[in-house]
Amino acid sequence: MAEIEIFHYRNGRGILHRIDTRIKLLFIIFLTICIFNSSIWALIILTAFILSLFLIEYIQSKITSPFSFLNNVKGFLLFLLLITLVRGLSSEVFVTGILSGLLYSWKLFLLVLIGQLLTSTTDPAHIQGAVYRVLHKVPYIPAGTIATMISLTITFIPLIFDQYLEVRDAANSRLGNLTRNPLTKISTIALPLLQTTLLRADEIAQAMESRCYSEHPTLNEMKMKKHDALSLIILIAIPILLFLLNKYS
Amino acid sequence: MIKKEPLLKIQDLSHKFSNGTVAVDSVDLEIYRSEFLIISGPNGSGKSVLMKHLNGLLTPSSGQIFLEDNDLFQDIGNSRQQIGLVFQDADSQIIGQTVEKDTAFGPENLRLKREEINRRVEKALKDVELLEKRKHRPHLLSGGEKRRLAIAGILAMDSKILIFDEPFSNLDYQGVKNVLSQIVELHRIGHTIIVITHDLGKVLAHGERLVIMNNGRIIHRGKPEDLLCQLENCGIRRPEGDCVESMTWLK
Repeated sequence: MAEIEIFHYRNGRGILHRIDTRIKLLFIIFLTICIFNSSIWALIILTAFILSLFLIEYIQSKITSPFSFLNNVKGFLLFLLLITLVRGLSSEVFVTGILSGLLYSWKLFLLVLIGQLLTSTTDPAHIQGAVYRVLHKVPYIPAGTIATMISLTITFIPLIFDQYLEVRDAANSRLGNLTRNPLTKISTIALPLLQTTLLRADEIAQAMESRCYSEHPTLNEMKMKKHDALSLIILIAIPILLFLLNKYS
Repeated sequence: MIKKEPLLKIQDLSHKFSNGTVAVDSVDLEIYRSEFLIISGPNGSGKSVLMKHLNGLLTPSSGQIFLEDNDLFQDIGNSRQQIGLVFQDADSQIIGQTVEKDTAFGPENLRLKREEINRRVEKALKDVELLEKRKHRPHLLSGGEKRRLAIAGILAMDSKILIFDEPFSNLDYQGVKNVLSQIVELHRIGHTIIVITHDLGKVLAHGERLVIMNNGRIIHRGKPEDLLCQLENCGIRRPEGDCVESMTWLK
């Protein structure tokens, strides 16, 4: 079966796999806030930090090579290029617009990187457990439903990518790639993709029901360990460091 | 030998889809404890729709189903735990991100203790010979392995009745043999087995009873050897050979 390698969970023994999922989720939230509130210097440090995590994950678990990742997101990179150009053209001063577009694209790319880091090192079932544990004490919040929805979304995004590849290959095998009209091209892929995705979703829902699906299943055990404490320190240190950098740079 | 105590009783069951198609029409069927039942029929004969009722995935337009004398839909959670369904498309049955997580999905929903879940997962994966692949990604398994993973998923729920919807579709020779030997072994250790297939040559020798459906109705039922001559008339390929015992891919 054809397969895109992004946003897939891969079993592994690296440090990112072993960090408590609750800490990883906090990390994601903090990093996202930091990314959109950073100066250039702070952004450079954040990028270096995220790239280091990416390399550590690759070295330890050998699961997402940087080259295959870039290859898989080349469509997204083109999209970022388009955003940058549109910003440049819609700005009064072209260069200023381009620079602002580049900064924005850079931030979006970092978001995709941290999304990849989270999904490739965290089992969606653990994310479900972590979200449920955090939310179930908050009154009036349907913790089970929210946790299940997040976990299912993370589980099925890569399946939609896989489905896209199959539909695209099926279209290309009957010379669909020769079509010049972009609208025809999009409808050739998009309509069957939508149809198969909905059918697949229905089948998976039936499979879940047939196995007694519950919003309150037995959760995975979660225990904080030494490396989680260290992660927590880094988690607290990064926003402080970035705040100081933003203030004094 | 068929035991006389019915485990499942389907009474006058009909299912009509919203577009007016009658998929199942006044079906009466009793399924006995520890029996090996084969349900056959051409495409669109209503076999899969009928089986989805047994798992509570579809509700009948009319009629009733009893599991050990209790209405199946009264306690749907218990019914789904007792009656495991292996889907035709094994890919659509995969929910977990690793083989062991997928197997644990059912027991986790039953809210069993973690130690019990781990014990059941290990036993189920051992039974289907996938224990060494417990950390693998299910989507990357072979067709036969995916089918065996689906079996492990329902074994871990401790289901008594196992329904296999076209279990040999899209499998190579070895895959069919592996899945078939698994099904035969599950029957041997006491599970009630229902196999839905139009490909009788692979499995007929193991069936104790054969039910043939067409246009949503049961048109024949009885011992496989008694129905051999009816198969071609019902749009089902008659397996080669004169004796039913030879109609298997397990030699």
